[in-house]
Amino acid sequence: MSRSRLQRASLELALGASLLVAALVLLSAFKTNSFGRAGDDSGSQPAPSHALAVPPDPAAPAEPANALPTSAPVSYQLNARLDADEQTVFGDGRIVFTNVGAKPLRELWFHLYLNAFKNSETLFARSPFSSGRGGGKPDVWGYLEVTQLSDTRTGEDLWAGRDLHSPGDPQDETDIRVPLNQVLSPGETIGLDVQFTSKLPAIVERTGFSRDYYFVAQWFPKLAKFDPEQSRFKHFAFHPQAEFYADFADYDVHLDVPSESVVGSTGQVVSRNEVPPNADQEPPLGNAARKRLHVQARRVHDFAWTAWPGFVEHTDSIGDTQIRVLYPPGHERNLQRTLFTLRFALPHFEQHYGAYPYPNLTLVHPPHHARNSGGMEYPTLITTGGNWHTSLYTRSVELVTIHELAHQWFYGLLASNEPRWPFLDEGFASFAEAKAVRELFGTSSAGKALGLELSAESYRRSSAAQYAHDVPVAQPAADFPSFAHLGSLVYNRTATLLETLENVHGEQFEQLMRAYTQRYRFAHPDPEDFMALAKQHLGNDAAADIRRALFERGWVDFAIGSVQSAERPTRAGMFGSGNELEQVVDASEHDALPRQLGRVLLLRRGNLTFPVDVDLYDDQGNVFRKHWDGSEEFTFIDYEGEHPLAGAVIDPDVKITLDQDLLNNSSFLERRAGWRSWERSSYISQLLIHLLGP
Amino acid sequence: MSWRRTYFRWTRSGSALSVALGFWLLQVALGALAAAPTGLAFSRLTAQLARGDAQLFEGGGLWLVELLRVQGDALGVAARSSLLLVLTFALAKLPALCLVVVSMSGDVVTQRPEPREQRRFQLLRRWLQCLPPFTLLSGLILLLRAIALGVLLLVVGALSGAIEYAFDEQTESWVLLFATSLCLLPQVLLQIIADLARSACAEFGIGTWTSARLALEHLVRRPWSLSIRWLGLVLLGLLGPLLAFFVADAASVSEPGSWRLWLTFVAHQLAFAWLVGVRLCWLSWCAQRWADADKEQQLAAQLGTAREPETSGTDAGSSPEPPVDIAERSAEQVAPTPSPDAQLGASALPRKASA
Repeated sequence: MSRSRLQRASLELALGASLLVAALVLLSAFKTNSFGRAGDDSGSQPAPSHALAVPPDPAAPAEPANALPTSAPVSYQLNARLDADEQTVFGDGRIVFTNVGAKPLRELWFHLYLNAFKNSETLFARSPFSSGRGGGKPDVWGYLEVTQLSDTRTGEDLWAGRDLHSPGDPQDETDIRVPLNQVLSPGETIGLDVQFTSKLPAIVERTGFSRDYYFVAQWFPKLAKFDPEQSRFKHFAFHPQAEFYADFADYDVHLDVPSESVVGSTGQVVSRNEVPPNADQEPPLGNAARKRLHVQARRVHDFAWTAWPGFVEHTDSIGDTQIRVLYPPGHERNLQRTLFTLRFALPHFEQHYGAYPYPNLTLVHPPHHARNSGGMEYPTLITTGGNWHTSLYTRSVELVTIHELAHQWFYGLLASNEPRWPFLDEGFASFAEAKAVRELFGTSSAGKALGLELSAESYRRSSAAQYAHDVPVAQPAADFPSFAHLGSLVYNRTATLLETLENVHGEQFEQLMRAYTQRYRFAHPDPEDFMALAKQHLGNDAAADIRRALFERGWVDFAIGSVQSAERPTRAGMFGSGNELEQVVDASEHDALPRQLGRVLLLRRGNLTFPVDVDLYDDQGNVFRKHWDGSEEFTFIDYEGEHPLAGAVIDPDVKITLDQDLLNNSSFLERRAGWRSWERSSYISQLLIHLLGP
Repeated sequence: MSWRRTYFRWTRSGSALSVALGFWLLQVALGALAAAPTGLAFSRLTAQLARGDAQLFEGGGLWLVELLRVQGDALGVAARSSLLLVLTFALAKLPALCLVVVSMSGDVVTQRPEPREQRRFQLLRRWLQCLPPFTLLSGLILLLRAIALGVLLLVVGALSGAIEYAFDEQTESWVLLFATSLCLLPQVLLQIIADLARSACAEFGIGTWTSARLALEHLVRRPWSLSIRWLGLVLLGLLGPLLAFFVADAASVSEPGSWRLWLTFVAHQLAFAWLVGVRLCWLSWCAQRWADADKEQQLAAQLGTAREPETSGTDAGSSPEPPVDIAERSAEQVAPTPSPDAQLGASALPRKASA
C-alpha cells in the first residue's frame, strides 16, 4: 500500500474504532434509561416458602360447625347512592351499637378512613416519600364528610360536638371522637342515624375510582373496635403502612348504582331491581336508569363493594360455597387460573384452618387501568390482579388469589388488630399461602416457563433474612422504618418462622394451628393468645423461642465450624509399669477398630434454638446421619469409619428455613469443582460475544 | 450446486474453511475467557456445598437465590468483569470477522495461486487492505444502530405513555408490540447494509462510503427479499440455542451423573457452532451476491451490450447508477452463466481492485 493509502487506512481504522466505542457508550446509556423507567411496576407479591406438608389427619377433631355467632355488638343499615358523574357516594342509615363492656361509655370513636386522602397534610399523605401499600398520593382527592350523626335515644345530633381531628394530629381527620350527650350504660344499645357523603379519590390504597370503575372501600363512618374488657375503643389514625380493625357486625346495605353497572360486594344480594329512568328524579341521580341491590352480610367486620359496567361475570360453586368472579374482558385465562387455584385452596384452607362460614365468596379482578385496587382482602370479597397475559408466564395470579383467600381466615375470621399486630394477619396469611402453593405447585410455585422453575419459597426465605437484625417482627405497622422492612418481616419472616416450626414440630404444630384457628374464630386474637397455645402445644422452650423470634429480633444461623479427618493412631509403645511394663508393637487389636476418625464442629449462632440433623460424608460418598438438639452454641460430632471423613452438612433437608445463611451449612475438606456454572457462563458469554459483535 | 456455491463459500477453499473454523474457535475461546471471572466466582462460592454448584440448578432456585443474596456483591463484581470482557471481545473479534469476509471474496475463493505461501500472502494482503474501511464501516453502522435503538426506546416509551388506557388492555399490548416490531426494522436493515457493505468492501477492495452506498442501493432495490432472507437465517440460527435449551433442561445437571454435564456441554457447543455456521452462510450469500453481480457486469462488458438491470417483482426498483471506478480491475475469468441474483444492479458495480 502507498504511504497516502496507509495514512488513510490508519485514519479510517482509528475513526472506526472511535465510532465503535461511541456506539457502545450510547447503547449502554439507552439501556440504563430504559431499565430505569421500567422500575416502578413491580407489584410485589407476598410470596411463600418451603416446608414439610402435613397430611390431613382423619382422626382430628371435627371442624367447628359452619355457623355464625349468634350476636354482633354492632350493626349497620346503610343506603348508598353512587353518583357516577361526581364519583361520590351519598349515604345514610343507622348504626346500632351495644355497650358490651362493664363500664358506662361517654364517647364513641369513629374511623373516617377516606379522609386519609383528603389533602396533602394527612397522616397518610404528608410524607414526601413513598410508603405504604398503595403508594403515593391520589391524583384526585377524596374525603368522607359526615353531615349528621344523631342519637336515636334523644334525637340530638352528636356530630356537632365531635373532635375536629385525630388525637394529637390537627391535620388528620381519620380518627374522630364523638362525645355522647347521654351515658351509654353497660348492656345498653344506642342507635345512630347517620348521613354522609363519600367523595371517592382516584384509586389509592385499593380504594376509589378509575374512569367508570369504582372500588368503594372504607366509605362510611365506621365505629372503632370496642374492647369490652377495657371498656374502651381501640382507635387510631390511618397510617400509610397500616390497615384496619373493627368489630364483627351485621350489615344491611342498599346500593343504588347506574343501571349498567355490574356490582360485587361483601355479603349476599337479597334482592335487586332495575329502576327505569325517571324525569322527576332529583339530582344527584338524574333521570338515568338505576339499579338497586339489597345486600346483607352477617358477622363481618367490613363492607366493600365495586361497580363497573365492563365486568364479565362468572359463577361457580366449590362445595357449599357459591363463587362469583368479576373480571375484565379478555381475562379468560386468568379466570381459569383463578378457579383452578380456588378449587384447591378453599378446601385446603378449610381442612387446615376450619370451615369457611359464609355462603358465598366474590373475587374481583380489576381492569388494567384500576390495577392499584387489586390484591386486597375484605370479608367474603377479595381482589386479585394481573395483566391479561400474566398467567402465561408467572403464577402471580394464583399467588395473589391464594394469599387473599387465606385472609378470609387470618383477618376475616381471626380478626386481629391489623395496625397493632400486622404479623398476625399478613404473616399468618403468608404462611398459609406458602403451604398451599407448595402443595399445589411444588418447586415452581412462583413460575415455570421454558423449563425454568422458581419457587416463591426461595424469594420468601431470602426476603425474611434481609432485615432480620433491624427491628422486631411483632410491632405496630406504623413503627416499621419502611414498608420494605414491614414486607420482609411481617409477611416473610413470620411465614418463615411458622414454616420452620412446622418442619421441626410436625403434627404438634398442625394441632397448634388448628387450636388457634378454632379458638379464635370470630374473635380478635392478639400475640399472647397465640403464645399461650404455642406453650401448650409445643412446650415452654419452643414458646420462648417463638417469643424471641417475634419480639426480640431472634435469629439463628447454623454453620459447620470445621471438619477434621485423621487416621486412627496406632497403639504402640510401652504400657504399664514395673513387672507389668509391656511393649506393644502388635496392632491387631487396633485393626479391629475403624481406621478413620473425624470430628466436626457444629455452630449455632443467634439466640434461637432448634434441633437439627447433621449428615457426615465419607470420601466414598457414604452418608451418616446424626442429630443435634441445637441447645448449645457449639458442639462436636465425632466420626469413626473405614473411609476418611470428607465433609459435613448441617440441616441437610433445610428444615430450619429461618436459618440466616444456608451457604455455611456445609463444609468439605476437598473443594467441589464448579464445572456446571463454568460451562453455563461460557456458553452465555459465547452467545453474547456473537450477538453483540458488529 | 447453486445453494452450496451461494451459502457455503467458506467451504470452497482450504483458506476460507480454515478461517471459518478459526473464527468459530476464536469465539469459543473468547467466550471461555470472558466467563472466567463469573465461572471462578461461582466455583469458589459453591465449593463447600455438598453437591457443589449442582445445587444451583435445582428446581425452585433455593440455593441460587441464597447465593445471590449472601454473595451478591462478589457475584456482581464478577458479572461486571465478565460483561466488560464480553463487550471488549465482541469488538476485538472485528479483525477476525474481516478475515472471514475477505476469505469468502471472489478472488480468494476462485483464484488459487500456488504455492500455498502465496495464497496466504494474498489473503493477508487483502485483509490488511480491507481492515480500515471495514472497521470504519462497522463503527458507523454500530453507531447508527445505537441511535436507532435509542429512538426505538424513546418512541415506544412515548407511545406507551400516550396510549395508556386509550384502548382496552389487549389492544394496547398489541399496538405496543406492533410499534416495537416496526421500530426494530431499522435495526434489521442496518445489519443487512453492514453485511452487504462489508462484503462489497472485501469483494471489490473499495472504500467505506462506496461500499455503504452500494449496499444501500441494493437494499433499496430489494428490501423485502433481503430482509426476509436475513430474518429467515436469523431464525434458523436461533433454532440451535433453542434446541440446546431443551436438551440442557432435560439433562438436568442438578442430578448426579457427569454425563449430564457432558451432554449439556455438547448441546451448547453444537448450538453455538450452528449459530456461527448460519452467520457464515449469510456472509457467504452476501459475498456470492457481489461475485455474481460482478461477473454479470463483466459478461455484459464482453458482449458489448450494457445490460439494463432487470426488474423482479415488487422489489425491483430504480434505474441503475453509473459505474463507480474505484480501482483498476484485474484480469479475471468470466463466468459463463450468471445467476438470477446477479441481475441486481450489475451496472452499478465498481471495478474490482487489484488482488
